Parts: sequence; C-alpha cells; structure tokens
Amino acid sequence: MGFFENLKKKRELARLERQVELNPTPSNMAMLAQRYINMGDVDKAFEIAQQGVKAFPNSEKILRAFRYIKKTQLQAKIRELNSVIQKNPNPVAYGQLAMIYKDLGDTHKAVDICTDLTHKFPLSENSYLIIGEIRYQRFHEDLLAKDGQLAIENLEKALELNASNYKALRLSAEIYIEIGLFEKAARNLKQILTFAPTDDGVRRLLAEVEALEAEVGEIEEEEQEWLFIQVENRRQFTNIIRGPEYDKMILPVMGPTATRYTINQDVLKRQINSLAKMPGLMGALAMERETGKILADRIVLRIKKEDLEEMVKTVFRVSHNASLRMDVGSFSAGRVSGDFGNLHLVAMEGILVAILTDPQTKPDIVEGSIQEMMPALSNAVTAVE
Amino acid sequence: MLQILKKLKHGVGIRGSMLVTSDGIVVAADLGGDLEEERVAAMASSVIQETQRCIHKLDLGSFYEFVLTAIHGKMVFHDIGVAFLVVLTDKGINLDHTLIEIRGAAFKIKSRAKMSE
Repeated sequence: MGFFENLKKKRELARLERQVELNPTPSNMAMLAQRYINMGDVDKAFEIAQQGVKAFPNSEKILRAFRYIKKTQLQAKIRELNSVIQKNPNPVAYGQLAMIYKDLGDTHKAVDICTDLTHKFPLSENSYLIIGEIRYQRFHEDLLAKDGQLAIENLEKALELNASNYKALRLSAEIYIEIGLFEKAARNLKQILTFAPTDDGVRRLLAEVEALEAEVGEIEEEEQEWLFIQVENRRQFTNIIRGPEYDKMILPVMGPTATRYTINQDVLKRQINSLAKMPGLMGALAMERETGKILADRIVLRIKKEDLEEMVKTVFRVSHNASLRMDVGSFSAGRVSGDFGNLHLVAMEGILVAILTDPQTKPDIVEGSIQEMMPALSNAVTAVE
Repeated sequence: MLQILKKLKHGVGIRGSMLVTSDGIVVAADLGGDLEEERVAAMASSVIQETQRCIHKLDLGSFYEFVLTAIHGKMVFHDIGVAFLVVLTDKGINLDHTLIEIRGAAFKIKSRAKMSE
C-alpha cells in the first residue's frame, strides 16, 4: 500500500472516529466498525459494535454489524467444528457449535444443531441444556408461558440424563422461584449442594426459598402450567431473583411492577417536529408503548390524527402478538407498503414511533432519519424500577 | 405453487413460507419443522385483516407488502391477489437480498394463478 493511500485511510478513520464522538448514531457506529474491519482490526471493530449494541439495542443496523463482526471473529472456530462434526461427530463439537450460534443470536441455527445432536447422541444432555438456556433467555425477554415451559421441559430432560448438571439445576431452580414453585426450586438447590456443598450463593438462596415456602404453603405440582400462565398474563415474575451471586436474594412481587419509564416529552416533540422537513411526510407520531398515550405528533397531510393513531396502535398490537405467537420474540420494527406510500414503525424501550410517508419517499431515507433520531429517542426514555 | 415455496426455502435464512388467504385459509405451505401451520395461518390472517382494516379507514387503499422485524426473526407478508405469501426468516439475514427472492417468488405465483384462471 502506498504512503498516500495509507494516509488517506488513516484520515478517513480519524474522521469517522470524530463523527462517532460528536454524533454517536447507530449508522455512524456501524460505519466506523466496518472501517476497522476493512483495516483488519476485528477486535476494535467488535469493541465499537459492542458499544453500539449497548447504546442502541433496537437498532437493526448496529445489531447486524455486531453479528457480522462476531461471526467473523468466530469463523475459524465454526469451520473447525464443522470439519470435526463431518469427520468424527461427537457431542462436544456439536455442543460447542450450537453454543457459538446461540451466542451469535442465531437461535434457530443453534436449535437445529441441537436437534441433530439429539438424533445422533440421544444420551447427551448438552442439546437439552442449550435449548433450555435459549428458552430460559426468551422467557426472561418476553415472559411467555410457552418459553418458560419449554425451558423447564428441556432442563429437566438434561437432568434426567445427568442429575448433577449444575447449570440445568441452577437455571431450572431460578425459573421455579420466578413462578413461585418453591418446593421444586428447593429440591434442585439441595441437589446442587450434594456435589457443591461450599456454594454459599446457592446455600443462601435455598434458605430464602425455604422461608418463602413456609410462608406461602404447599403448591401442587399440577399448578405449574397455571403459574406460567400467570406470569404471562401479569407480564411479571411472581418473584424476582436479584444479582448473579444471589446476594440480594429473592424479592417477592407485591403488585404490578412491570417496568415503568420516565419520558422526556419535549425531546420527543422536538424529534417528531424535526421530521417536518422530510419531503413526502404525511404524518409522524410517538406514543407510549404500554398505554398508547400520544407523546408527540406531526400531521402534515389529509389524514386524521385519531385514525393514524388507531392504525399505529392496531398494527403494533397485532404484529407484536403475532411475533410472540410465531416464536420470533417481541416486535421491534415494521414497514407497511402500499400505493399510499409507507408506514414505518419502530418499537423501542417504552415508546413506539410511527412515520407515514407518500410513495415518492424512499424507505431508505426514512430509515436513515430514524437511525439519526435514535440516540435522542433513547436518551428521552429512562426505565425506573 | 408448492414447488415455488420449496425453492424459496433454499434461500439463505428462510425458515418457511405459506400462501394464505386473508381469512386464514392455507393454500399451500412449506414451513420448517418447528412452525405449526395452523398457528402461522391464524396469526398471519389476523395481521393482514387488521392492517387492511386500518388502511381502509384512513382511505389509503390497501397494502401490498408488510415487513415485520422481531427480536428473533422476521416475517414478510406479500399480497399476490387471491392470497398472501407469508415468509418467515431468521433475524440475521440481509433483508434487501431476501426481499428480492420473496418478490420474485410472489411474481411467479401471481403469474401462475393468472394462467390457471
């Protein structure tokens, strides 16, 4: 590479770094990460993308960049494991490969590998454990009864094959506590102490569980399904476990405690009003996700605000419901296209933003504007416990 | 029709697809093992009907495509006249490329449906 070309690349990198510093949007961060990849510095690219995901967990652009970089980092390992599986298939290689895909967020691929593993090695608990972990994670994200039940089903299967699997015992105990089935949680925690008697975290948790069990009384095992449905209907766990080391132990939930948000409405209004200069804008609004309360709106053309509001609420409700029931998790974004133009929806923590544009406005332009708005929108919403 | 759906499933990250009328009647389906046909049809029908209803109310005509992104995957609903092509994909796909495949499949299905009329 020539001196001038090198200098040009360094300048470009410095420019992108400055840009991210001044205006850390998902687009800018993804561009900087991509630049580091092009320069062969995958670790730095990963660092930037990781920061981006932390700041903008709902940004498709930054998530895609993050997954791509992580996959690039793990590509050699994936190739090696695939080669082992082809030449000398064994449960460990399958398990490692499934875990990589799970960590990459490609849970469908991870489950496919686990299914393959179960067919080839029915006595290996690994596949059940990994599927159990995936469902455990989803249960915590979406609070769906089905995910919780599948997590328990798989973790219990793993325990049938290996009664001393620490992870399966711990994760299932946590779920039992979260739904209020203390007896089963205590049983699993006691089992851990038979082979890890010095685990103080588990010992303390067991003491808490036994105290709650005595307080609440006996709960029939048959009620397990109903307890999961209660969590789904109330959108909250019956009990919350705080901290990985269980230092704060269990917090019994006394009433509705679904996450609440404080929202800076002025910031939202400014952002929605700033869309007025977008050519082809027909209307835009921001509303509270849980209540549907309008926080900011800008109606430009021939549509009634109430009708747009109803449309956004309805499309979000049916889409979110369908996403959960079709097992793809919570709704995060949508684009409805017709002769009228495009309706863009973006669901973020606590709020929902909708932008309606005419057919002449390219979706890329709207999506770019949404990416630009994201830092301000994220800052406008704060979760409160 | 099923051949087109089967071919579509070979695309990167496509988990399955189906042709379903807006009232939930399945015309053809090629879904992955873990996807239940009835559930997908019912959910698709609900999304299509409710979205259509709202668009009509705003006097905006109708929609021809709905791309829905969720945390663990994406869904595309594409109007082919007599029914909708519903496609489920992994979350990590490059949607721009996949949409070209989906629109191509929708066009073929539409053409065949016209020929058989």
